Amino acid sequence: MRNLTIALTGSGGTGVVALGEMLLRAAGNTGYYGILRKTFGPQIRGGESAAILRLGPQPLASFGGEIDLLLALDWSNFQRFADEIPISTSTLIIEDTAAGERPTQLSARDSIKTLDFSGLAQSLGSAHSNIALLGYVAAWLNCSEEQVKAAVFQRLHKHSEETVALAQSVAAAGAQWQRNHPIGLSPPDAVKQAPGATPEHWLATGNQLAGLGALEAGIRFVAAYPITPASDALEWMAGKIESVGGHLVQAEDELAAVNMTIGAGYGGVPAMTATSGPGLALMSEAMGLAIASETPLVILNVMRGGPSTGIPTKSEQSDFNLAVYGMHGDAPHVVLAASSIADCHFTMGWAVEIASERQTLVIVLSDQLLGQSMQILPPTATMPFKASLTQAALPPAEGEDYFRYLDTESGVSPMAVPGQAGGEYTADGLEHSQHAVPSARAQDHEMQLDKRRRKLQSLVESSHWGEVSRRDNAELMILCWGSLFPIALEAQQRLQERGLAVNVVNLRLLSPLPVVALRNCMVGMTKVWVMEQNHQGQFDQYLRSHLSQSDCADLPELIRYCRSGPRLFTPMEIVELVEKAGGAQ
Amino acid sequence: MILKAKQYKSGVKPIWCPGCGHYSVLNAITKAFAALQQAPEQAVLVSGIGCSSRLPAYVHSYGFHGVHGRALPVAAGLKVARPELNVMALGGDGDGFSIGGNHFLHACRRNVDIVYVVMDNEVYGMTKGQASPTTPENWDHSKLTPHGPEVRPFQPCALALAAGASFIARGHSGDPNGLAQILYEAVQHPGFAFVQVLSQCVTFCPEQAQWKEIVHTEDVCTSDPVAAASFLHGDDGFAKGIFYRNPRPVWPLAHERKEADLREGFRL
Ligand SMILES: Cc1ncc(C[n+]2csc(CCOP(=O)(O)OP(=O)(O)O)c2C)c(N)n1
Ligand code: SF4
Ligand SMILES: [Mg+2]
Repeated sequence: MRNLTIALTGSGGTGVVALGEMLLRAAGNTGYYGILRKTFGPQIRGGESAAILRLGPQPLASFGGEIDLLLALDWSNFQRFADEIPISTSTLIIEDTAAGERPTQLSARDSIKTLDFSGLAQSLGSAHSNIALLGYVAAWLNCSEEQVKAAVFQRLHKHSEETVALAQSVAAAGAQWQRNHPIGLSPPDAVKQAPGATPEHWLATGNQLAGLGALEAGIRFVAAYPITPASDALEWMAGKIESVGGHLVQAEDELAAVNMTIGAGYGGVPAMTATSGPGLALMSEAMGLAIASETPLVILNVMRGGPSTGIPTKSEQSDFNLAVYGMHGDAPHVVLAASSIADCHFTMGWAVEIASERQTLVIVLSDQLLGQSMQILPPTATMPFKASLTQAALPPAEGEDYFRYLDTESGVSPMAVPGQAGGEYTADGLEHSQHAVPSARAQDHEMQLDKRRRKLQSLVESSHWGEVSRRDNAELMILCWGSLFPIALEAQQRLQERGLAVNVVNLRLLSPLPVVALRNCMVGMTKVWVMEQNHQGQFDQYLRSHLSQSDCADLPELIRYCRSGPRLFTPMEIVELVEKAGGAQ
Repeated sequence: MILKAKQYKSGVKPIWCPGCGHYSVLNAITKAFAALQQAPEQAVLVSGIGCSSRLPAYVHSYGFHGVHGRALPVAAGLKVARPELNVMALGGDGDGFSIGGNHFLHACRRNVDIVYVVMDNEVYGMTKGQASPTTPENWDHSKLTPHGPEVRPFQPCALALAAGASFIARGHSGDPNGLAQILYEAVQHPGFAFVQVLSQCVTFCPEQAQWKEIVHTEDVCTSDPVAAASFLHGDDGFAKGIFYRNPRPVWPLAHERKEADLREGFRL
């Protein structure tokens, strides 16, 4: 077996997410690569939760879709995840004796193994059947007792020594059971296939890496209001930002958060906020302020199911329209999308640099899948970006006037920051003259609108606009953005194994749209699938409106493929889609 | 070089109606700056939207004219990020107590070291005369509320006290020197200093011309919140002076900076 996908289901109290994390860490220290997805129900504690863990000998950035092994500590809420955990006839199922009544669709199956993990834990004086299961599965994966102990310690180190020791002995007993009640399935051959993951590898979520990217690129001020699934990015930053001399403020609401961030940015301190759909909607007015006053502002938006409160704990890519269009007035700004857990670091860094260099708003779109999934990956590359203010020639010479909103060729004007004598000006959301004096004149309005648009245009020439993964002789193409990219890459690989060549193009720069680069990618293609995880094909509509403005004579056939969350796209569904249409070549 | 009050004017011509109380507030600010010999490049005036919020452009210092109701968060973010600056937020009663009401409460509670000046004319001047949260309940001059607002007005100073402000004062646009004195003290107060200014709107509330007959100076400054509450609840709304002054730790509190590797904690 090349890869292995294990689904863990339980109620919140059974600790399946903790189990998944410990198992991932122990497996990583044994040489596996892996990725863990956490999915929660709406209840905070005691509700249903599930974790999906994928392990294999090569780095894994996506989920395959198939479930090889299902471990059920509690069936009671399984139905709520049934859509997201597609069980097939080849799925091996192991349930705990205390798991309760089996879901109806499984009642007919006779291949389910029932083992008394809760009894085992209880016999040692522990209530944690998840730890017994951890030992059991880890032993099957050839994890040593030391590795399991270390994983337990990592998770529980804030508890008492006795608690840790008890958990470690429960895990050891679980491992013993593997010998007595073997799973009867062979694990993937990761350990034999050097070089696997090493202890130098990282275990990180996209939210943590976005936070790291922000701080490494120079963010020194954060203000935000808690919201799932962005809070853990903020919590990570809160623990680190003071060590680099910065501050994180928990604001009274998102209106305050974004305006505090603008205040710090106006003061010349690289600043950001992080939120999710409902919060981004509240920030809309202030985004226009950042654009008009030309104040650097970075917003990380970790998407969840919408509209309204929607599905707060699960992934969707449905804030595209809000991020791109959700502003009053003509308000050019930048929208980027992080394209993998690792890329959250790079894209955040780029956002910080763009915002400060071009004195504008940059929104980074991530989602619950990238933000909260945990991946084993090589240490993140050194941050290539740095916040820098373009304070051209300040303070102005004695007696010379300072034009804060000077109409320059690049569109970027010299920005003074408080403390610089001679640069005193009032930044303004009111339309203004080059001299930063309020003005309602058509001429000033047009000049400033042109300027604010012009300063973003050269971005489409940046090589960071996206990634292109080509295959020889391909005439088919998948175009995607955000968390779909790793899934599309896996589909590309599987298609190649089946003899079908497909190119995959991923967009990091969503706005302004790099139309020329995209057109170049489409040369020689017959079909392009535009993929995204939202109900109405928000990006596809936007793409078509841009392409129709360019020369559309030789456009390939564009096929919209979209659907809402939280059901993830799977590599296999893309394979089937492309095979069906592509076979006709 | 000694800077005179008028050297703190930017030279941009105010849009205000002749006789508007906000002119006096502008004069009081420049006088206070002259008294403080405030370095223009180290001062930032932050405002929201309204006639009153136009003020920063008229002062020779840095300024930020933001969106309606959000002066306080902009000012707080700036001050936390750049603590060495002298940051003053200002605006109107609509800006501060209606659309920005939540920020007002939290700014009082948070106690960031900024001054907040509200030019209270009990009306929305800029949008041509609608009722605000401080408008008298029977004021029926607005077409939008033909019966008057029919709700009791806020008492901003009592509200500030309840929310935790550590400096509370009231001035009057008819007395720019007295107001300059209050602002001079407010700037030097460590923590959040709230200054309500009765600043008349000659255009939509000409009756406010009578304020100069009814304001009275009260020398009641206390650090006792109970005494301050008792005074403010009995107050007719026209007392002038510094009512409450009780410094407490300024936010953010200083913490020892622990050097840490940002990349620590990620290894398997
Ligand atoms: C979000 C938003 N809503 C409404 C307005 C319209 N508006 C502009 S100023 C104002 C009221 C200003 O009143 P106040 O703060 O008391 O200032 P004054 O003009 O009386 O000095 C309103 C409602 C706006 N600019 N923005
Ligand atoms: S409308 Fe009222 S508040 Fe506005 S400038 Fe005129 S007098 Fe002043
Ligand atoms: Mg008013």
